Amino acid sequence: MTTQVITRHRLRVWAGYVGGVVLGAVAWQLIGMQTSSQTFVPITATLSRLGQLIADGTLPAALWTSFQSYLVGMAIALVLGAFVGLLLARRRLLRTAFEPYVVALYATPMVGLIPFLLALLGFGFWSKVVVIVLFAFFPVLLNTQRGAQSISPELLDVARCYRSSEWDVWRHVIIPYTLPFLMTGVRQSLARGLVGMIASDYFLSSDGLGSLLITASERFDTAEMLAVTLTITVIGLILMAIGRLAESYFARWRVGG
Amino acid sequence: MTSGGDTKIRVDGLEKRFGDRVVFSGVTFDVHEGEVVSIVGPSGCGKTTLLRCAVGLARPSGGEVRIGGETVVDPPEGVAMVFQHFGLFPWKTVTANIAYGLTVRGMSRREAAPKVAALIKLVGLEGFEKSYPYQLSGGMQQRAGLARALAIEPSVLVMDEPFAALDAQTRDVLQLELLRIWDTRQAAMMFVTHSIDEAVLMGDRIVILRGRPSSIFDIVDVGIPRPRDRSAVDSERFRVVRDYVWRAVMQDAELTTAERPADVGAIRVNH
Amino acid sequence: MSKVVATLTDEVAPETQATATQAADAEGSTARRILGSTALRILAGVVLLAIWQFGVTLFAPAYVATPLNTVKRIPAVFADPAFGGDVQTTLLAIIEGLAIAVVIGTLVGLVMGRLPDVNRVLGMYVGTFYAMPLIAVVPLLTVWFGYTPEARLAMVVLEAVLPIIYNVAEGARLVPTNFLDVTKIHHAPWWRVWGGVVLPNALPYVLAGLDLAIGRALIGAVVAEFVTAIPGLGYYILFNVRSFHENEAMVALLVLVAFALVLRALINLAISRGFRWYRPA
Repeated sequence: MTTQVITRHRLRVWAGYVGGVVLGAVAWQLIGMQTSSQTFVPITATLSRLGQLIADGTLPAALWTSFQSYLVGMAIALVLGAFVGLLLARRRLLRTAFEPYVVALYATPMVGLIPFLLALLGFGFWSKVVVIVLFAFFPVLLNTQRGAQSISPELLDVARCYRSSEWDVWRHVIIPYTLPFLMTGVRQSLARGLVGMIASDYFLSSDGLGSLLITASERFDTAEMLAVTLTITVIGLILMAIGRLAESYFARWRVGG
Repeated sequence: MTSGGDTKIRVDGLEKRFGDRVVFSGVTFDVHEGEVVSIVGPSGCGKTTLLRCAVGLARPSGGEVRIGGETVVDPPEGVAMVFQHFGLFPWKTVTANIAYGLTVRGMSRREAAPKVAALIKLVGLEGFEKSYPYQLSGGMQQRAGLARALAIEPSVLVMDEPFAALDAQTRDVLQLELLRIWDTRQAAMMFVTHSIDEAVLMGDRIVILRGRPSSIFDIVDVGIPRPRDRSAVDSERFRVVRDYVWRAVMQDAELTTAERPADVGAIRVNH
Repeated sequence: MSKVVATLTDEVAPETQATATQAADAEGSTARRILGSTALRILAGVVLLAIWQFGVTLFAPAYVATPLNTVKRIPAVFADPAFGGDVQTTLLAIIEGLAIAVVIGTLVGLVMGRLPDVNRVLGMYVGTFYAMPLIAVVPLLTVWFGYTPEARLAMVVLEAVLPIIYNVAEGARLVPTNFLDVTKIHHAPWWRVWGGVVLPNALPYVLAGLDLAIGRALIGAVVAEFVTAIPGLGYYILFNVRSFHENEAMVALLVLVAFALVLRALINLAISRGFRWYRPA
């Protein structure tokens, strides 16, 4: 009985997913067929344009350029964010002094800084990296800080009571406790970094995915825009899945982990 | 007279202030080798703070604690503590938690394994070696906490309301378990509790704190022979001691130490 | 066998005294602590600004914005009617977009939160658009709407609607079962259930979603202005930086930040004052 109910429920869930995808694809196809090719194109036309873009090497090249700056930027944001987050969490003086500025900077729309960076650093790789770091840095910092700050004092007492060295306290208590929070920050940063990547592609370089979109729009090539947007969407979904996996892996000791 | 031999722990004129607020002052008592001293008092009287000072987790504002003749500054070797909220690391399995004290002392996982296995058996956690704390009931978590404390073979064991976070039934079971375990491996023990029954059941002597700031109102001899079991609760002696401690803790203003039943006194403080 | 070592200090009299002085002292030390941390914060701010100021004067070209020059330019920028116009267009576009997003987001979110089948289909798409950098559709919007303010508005709505849908759906899902049981016992009509129970319960979630939407809306508006070059604060920044008026551009950026901070503070005030029962997940 119960298993039957469960399977039926599961079936319904999966039917929902599959039906949702099919529904979306059909809607896309139908709308694309009703409208002029400049406004919107069917999913079939989009996919065949995607095939072309991959075959002639345009898309792989753009992907590679964009992701070089993304990977470097994310790595810097992660290390820097985790470090500053731990520092602010464990040093009350620094936290009191700098917390309001961190919050204010977090609220700043970083795209607004892009023209300034363009004037200062010019086109190119490193200015793109700076933009991505600016976008991705704060979620890691704030989540790490929030985590490291909320360690229960009893657990720190336990560590001290059993004569743990400073390194033991970090290795056995602070780092494992903070990692799930850090991973939440990483997941948020992966998404924000992607926004930074596209924005810096738009304004700070003449290649990469964003530039592909801009040039396609100037040619009114809707099929290409949709193909590139679809690619970016899939990348976003993959990154989110990775982020979520990392998060639940490091939080497996929590209730319902 | 109390059990035991030489003085293991000496709490000498201990005082703790937070800012200008004096939590307790002039607290002086000894714990002998192989003796259990219960510490009772109303909530907020600084029992936990007293323990934290005793093991070097907090700095006293005055006086000192000596363990084995050495003044306590940081947590000394051979001292283990059992915490009210168990203090298990939620990201470590039961095995890794029990082995923690051994791990930070540089013992490898393989060296620790037989010892940890024996302790798991002792506290009755077989089958849960790989479980994470959130998968265990409160009682089982505290069994793991107890095993972790025993792992380092402590000569001093301090218990900070170890059963206060458990339901009544589990508490009864664990009290008896602790008595049983106690008979096999004796250490000087400080047992903080707000349950008077528990203080009488566990302790050889009971330190009663009261007042604001609190200080020692009396130290009484329990005088129930060991090994003890549940039947100790039914003895006349248990009732007499419990009644006196109860009146003392409940701030019976008229109560003086002179009213202490004749053989409940027998206090010995070495100076 | 010596007597008890119970230092029975005079317990009664000093106690009352102590509490009184304690309270006074605690107050004094709290005030002192707040004063101290404020001083510390101001000091940290001064240090940060000094690093910026001297960093630029020592290592960067003269046109690069500095704190002092930015402050000096504030009166002139605010006196410029063109700037006033740009502030008005962009901020109004953001507010308009947020308003549209609240209406759409609340409706969609309520339906998604209460109807699991709708949630399964739509939730997937909401999640997908949440995961992707939405500013990737700006070029597409320029094709659809041209290089017009409508493209900016569409971008703001798109950015803002997602967190609102997401939060409202959460709020609608978390309506306490007791409340719904009450409506069932009293045979309440559907519109009373939705209007009287589900919607009021979801309201703080609307505000929480709006709080998250503001930052995204700002990004959407600025990127749209950068790409389309339509007048507004974003384009004001772009134009002035390009013509080496970075300090003026910095004033515009500060106005954007101030707008976001004030709006978010107001929303959070509304949440904490109006919905004391609300506890974010």
